[in-house]
Amino acid sequence: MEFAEALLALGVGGASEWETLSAEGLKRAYLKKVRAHPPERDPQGFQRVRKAYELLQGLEPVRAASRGSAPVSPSTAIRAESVTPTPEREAGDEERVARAPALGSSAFDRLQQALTEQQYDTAADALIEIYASATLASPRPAPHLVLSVITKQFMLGAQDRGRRLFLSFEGDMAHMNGPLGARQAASWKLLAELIALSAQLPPAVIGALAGAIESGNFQQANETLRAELDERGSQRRLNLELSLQTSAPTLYEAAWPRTRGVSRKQQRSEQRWARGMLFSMLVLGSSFMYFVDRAPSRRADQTAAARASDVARSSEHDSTAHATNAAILGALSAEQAKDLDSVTSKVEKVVRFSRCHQLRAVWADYTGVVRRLKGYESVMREYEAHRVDAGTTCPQLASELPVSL
Amino acid sequence: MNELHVGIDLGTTYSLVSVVVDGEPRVIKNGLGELLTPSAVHVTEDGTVLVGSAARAKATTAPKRTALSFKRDMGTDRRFELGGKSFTPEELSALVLQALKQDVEAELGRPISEAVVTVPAYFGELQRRATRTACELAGIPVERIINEPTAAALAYGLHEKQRELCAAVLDLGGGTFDVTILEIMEGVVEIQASAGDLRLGGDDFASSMALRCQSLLERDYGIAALTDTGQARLGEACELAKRRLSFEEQTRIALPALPTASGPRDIELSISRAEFDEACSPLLARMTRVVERALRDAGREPRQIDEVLLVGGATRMPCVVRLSSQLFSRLPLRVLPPDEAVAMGAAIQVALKKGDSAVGDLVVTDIAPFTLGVASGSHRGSALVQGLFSPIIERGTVLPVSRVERFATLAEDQTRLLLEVYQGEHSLCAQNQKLGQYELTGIPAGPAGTQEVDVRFTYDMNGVLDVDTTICSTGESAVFTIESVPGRLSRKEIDEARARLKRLKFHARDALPNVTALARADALYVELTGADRAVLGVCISELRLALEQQASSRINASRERLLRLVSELDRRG
Repeated sequence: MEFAEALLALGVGGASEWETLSAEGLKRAYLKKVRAHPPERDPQGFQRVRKAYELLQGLEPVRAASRGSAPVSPSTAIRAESVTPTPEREAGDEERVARAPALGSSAFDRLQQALTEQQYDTAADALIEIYASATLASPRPAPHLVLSVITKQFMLGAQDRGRRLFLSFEGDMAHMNGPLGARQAASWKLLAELIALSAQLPPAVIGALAGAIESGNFQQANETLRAELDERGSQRRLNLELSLQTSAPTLYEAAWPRTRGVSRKQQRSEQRWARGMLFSMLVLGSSFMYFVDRAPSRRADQTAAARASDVARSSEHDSTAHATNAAILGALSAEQAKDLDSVTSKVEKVVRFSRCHQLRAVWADYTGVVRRLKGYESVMREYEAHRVDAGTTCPQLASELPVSL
Repeated sequence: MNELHVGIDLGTTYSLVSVVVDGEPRVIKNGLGELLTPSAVHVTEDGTVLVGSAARAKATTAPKRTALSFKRDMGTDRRFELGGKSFTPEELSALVLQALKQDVEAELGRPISEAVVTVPAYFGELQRRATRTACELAGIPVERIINEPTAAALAYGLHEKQRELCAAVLDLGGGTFDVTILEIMEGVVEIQASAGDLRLGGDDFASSMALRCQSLLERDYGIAALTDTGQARLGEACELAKRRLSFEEQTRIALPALPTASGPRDIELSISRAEFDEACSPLLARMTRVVERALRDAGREPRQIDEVLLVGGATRMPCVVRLSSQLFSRLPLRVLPPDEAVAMGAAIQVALKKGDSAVGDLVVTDIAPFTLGVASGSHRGSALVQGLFSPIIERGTVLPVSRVERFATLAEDQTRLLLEVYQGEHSLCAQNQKLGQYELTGIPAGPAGTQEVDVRFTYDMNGVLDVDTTICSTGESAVFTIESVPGRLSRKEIDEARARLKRLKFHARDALPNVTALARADALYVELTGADRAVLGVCISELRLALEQQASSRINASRERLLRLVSELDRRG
C-alpha cells in the first residue's frame, strides 16, 4: 500500500492535511472508517483501513519532525519527570525510610545497617528476605529505597541478585500503601526494561544504563552505548537497535543516540558499505549465472564477472564474509552505475533467480541497511526543509545530505 | 420473527443463557426457576445423567460420580470417569449446553437458530475449538465465539454513554481470571490488550480457605486427613463461608459428623475476614501481575483508565474490590449482577450481529490473544538449529488479519516440508503449544534455500485460524487441515460422540425439580443432627413415597414443603 492510497483509505484529503493532523486526529479518522467498514460485515474493507492506519502511524516521527516538535508520548513525559529530581519529594522519602525500620524486625535492622555502611549486596539480601516473609499487614520498605538498591545491583554487576529483588518487589506491589510516585514509577519501568535487555548487552553497558537510571543523566550511558555500537558490525548493530526498540522502548528513547546525532562518518561508511554490497551482489550473481547456469545478464560488466567468478564459485564453500569482501574489491574497481534504483531492482532479480543462498543472506543484510539509510535521508530532508522555512539555512548540514545512496 | 438468537455464558461453575427482548437483555430461567445453571454433571447409580443443580448437590454426597470445573480442561485430552462412563471435557460441556438449550427452547417455544458463546479472552485456539465442538455436540448453531470481557463491556453499555473512555474489565469467575483493556472512541470499541490466568478463580479462594481450615483442624482437633467425601463437604462449606464473608466480618463453619480418616467427628470452626484475606494474599498477588501485564501490553498507566468493571461472581469478595481500587485508584463499576453481565453481553452481541435495530449500531475490534507462528530452522555457521518459533501473527494484532511469511528449504533436494503450527510467546517451539501440523509435498528438487514457500495465516474474528501454503516456483497452493490434535474431532467423530450422548439416559426434564429437591435435601440431611434431621427425614420419605405411587397432586405438594423446609434450615445453618 502506498502513502497516497493510505491517505485515501482513511479519507484524509492529502499530504498537507495529514501534516496538520494530530495523532488523535489520525486515530479518529481511522475509527470513522472502521465504522464504515466493520470487521464483522466487511472484513476485507476493514483490513484495508487497518493497513492504512498502521502505515500512517509508522510515519508519525517523520511528521513530528516536519512540524519541528518532538512527539510527546507518555513514555517521554515520564522520562522528563525522572531526570529532574525534585528536592521536596526526596526529603519526604527520607522520612519514610527512617520510619519503616523503626517498626523493628531483624531483617529491617540488617537493611538499616547495610545502608549506612553502603553494603548494597547485604541490603539486597535483607530486602529479598523481607519480601519473602512479608504478610499482608507487615511493614514495607519505602519503594524508592528498594528501587535504588536494585539499581545499585546492576551498577555493581550483580545482575542476578538485582533481578531477584526486582521480582520480589514487583510481586509485592499490590500491598504497598498507595501507588508509586512519578519518579519511582519511572525508575521501575526503566528497570523492568533493563532487566529484559540484560542478557543481550555487555555488563559495561548495563552498568552505565543503571547508573543513568540512578542519576537521571543519560549522557554517560549514551557514550558507552555509542562505543559499543562502533564495535559492532552493521548487521549486529541493527539487531541491537531492534531489540532495544522492542523490548525497552523507554530506555531506547532515553539512551539511544538520536538519528540526527549519528556521526556523519558513520553514515558515510554505511553508505559506502551498502554501495559496495550492491556491486558485489551484482557481480556475484551475474557471474554465478554465467558459470553455473546460463548467460550473464546483458547489463552486467563481463570483466568484473570474470574477475569475481572464482570468488563466486568458492562462495559455495567458503564463509560469506570472505567471499563478500573479495567481491567488493572486484566490484568497486568495475563500473560506476548512474541509476542506482534500476541497478538495485536488477540485482534483486539476480538474487531471486540465482541459486546461491549466501547471496540471499547478503541481500537481507543489504536491504536492512538501505532501509536505515532511507530513514536518515527522510529525516535529514525534513530537517533541512524546516531550516529553510525558518530562514536559517544550514549549508553544512545540506552538503552532507546524500543525493543518492 | 421466528428466529431465536441467544447469548450463552458457558462458565466454569455456572452457565447462563440470555436473549434480547425489546432491546433489553434478559437471562432465561431454567426448569427449576434458577438464573444460574451449575456447570456440573452427575451419573447416578443406575447410569442416569443429571445436569445442573441436582448434579451440583450430588457433589457433596457422591464426589466420584460428579464432574465439576471441567471448563478448565477444555482443549486437553483429559477424560472424566463417572460411574463407569468416560467423558471428555467437550462432552460434559455439551451436556450442560444441551440443558440450557432445552430450557430456553421450552421458555420461548422455538428452536435456537443462532448463538453467541463466550470464552475467556485468554482462551487459545485449542480451547476455542473445543468450545465450538461442545456446541456442535449439543446441536447449538454457533454464530460466533466472543471474549467474556468484551461481552461485559457491552452489557454495561459503555458504548451507549455519549463519551469516550478507556476501561479495564476484571473478570474473576469460578475458574479463570481475565483482564481486558478496551477503548471506546467514535462509537468503536477497540480491545487493546487482554491478559489472563487460566487457573485462577473463585474456586481457588475457597480452596485457600479449605487449606487454612485443614491446618486449623490439625491444630485444634488433631485431624490429619479427611476422606474424599469429607474433603468435598469441607470444600462446600468453605465456598458458602466465603460468600458469607462478603457481608460479615466473621463467620462460623459447622461440620457435624465430618468423615475423617479416623471416623466421623463433629467440627466447628470460626474464621474472620482478615484471616481469609491473608490466606488469599498469594492469589491477590497473582491477580496484580495479570493486571499489570494487561496495562503494559496496552501501553497504559493505571491513571489513564476511566472505568473499571468487575464481573464474575467472585468479584463480590471485598478483598477483590479493594485490590482493584488500590491498583486503579478509583471505585469499580459493579451495578449489574456480576454473574449475569457476561451472558447479557453475549445476547447483545448476537442482536448486534443481526442488525437488531433495538440495539444501536456498534463496532468492535478485537485482537489476537497469542502469537501464532510456525517451527523453523536456521543455519548458524555450520550448525543447523531447529525448532525455532517464527511468529507470523503477533499477539495484540488487530483482527481479522491475514499475514504471509516466506520460508525456504533447508536441505539439498528437499521435496517435502513439515509445517508445524504453534501458539505462544516463547522463542523455542518446544515451550509453546502445538496447534497442528501439515506435510507439504510436491516441492521441486533443488539446492538448499532455493525453493520457497509462502505461508499465509488468516485469523478471523472468531479466533479461528486458517493456513494456506503456496509453493512459489510452481504456484501450487494448499489449504491446511490440522491432524492429530487433542480436542480436534473429525466430522465422523463428532457424529459418533453425538450419537453416544443421545444414547445416555436422562432424567425426564419435568421430573428434574423432584430429583433436584431430593438431592439438595439429601446433602443437607448429612449436615444436620437431632430434631431438624428427623423432620427433614420425614419430609424426604414423604416425597419419595409420593413419587413411587405417582400421585401427581401429592408430589407437587410434598416437594414444595420439602423445599421450604430446606431453605429454612439452610438459612438457620
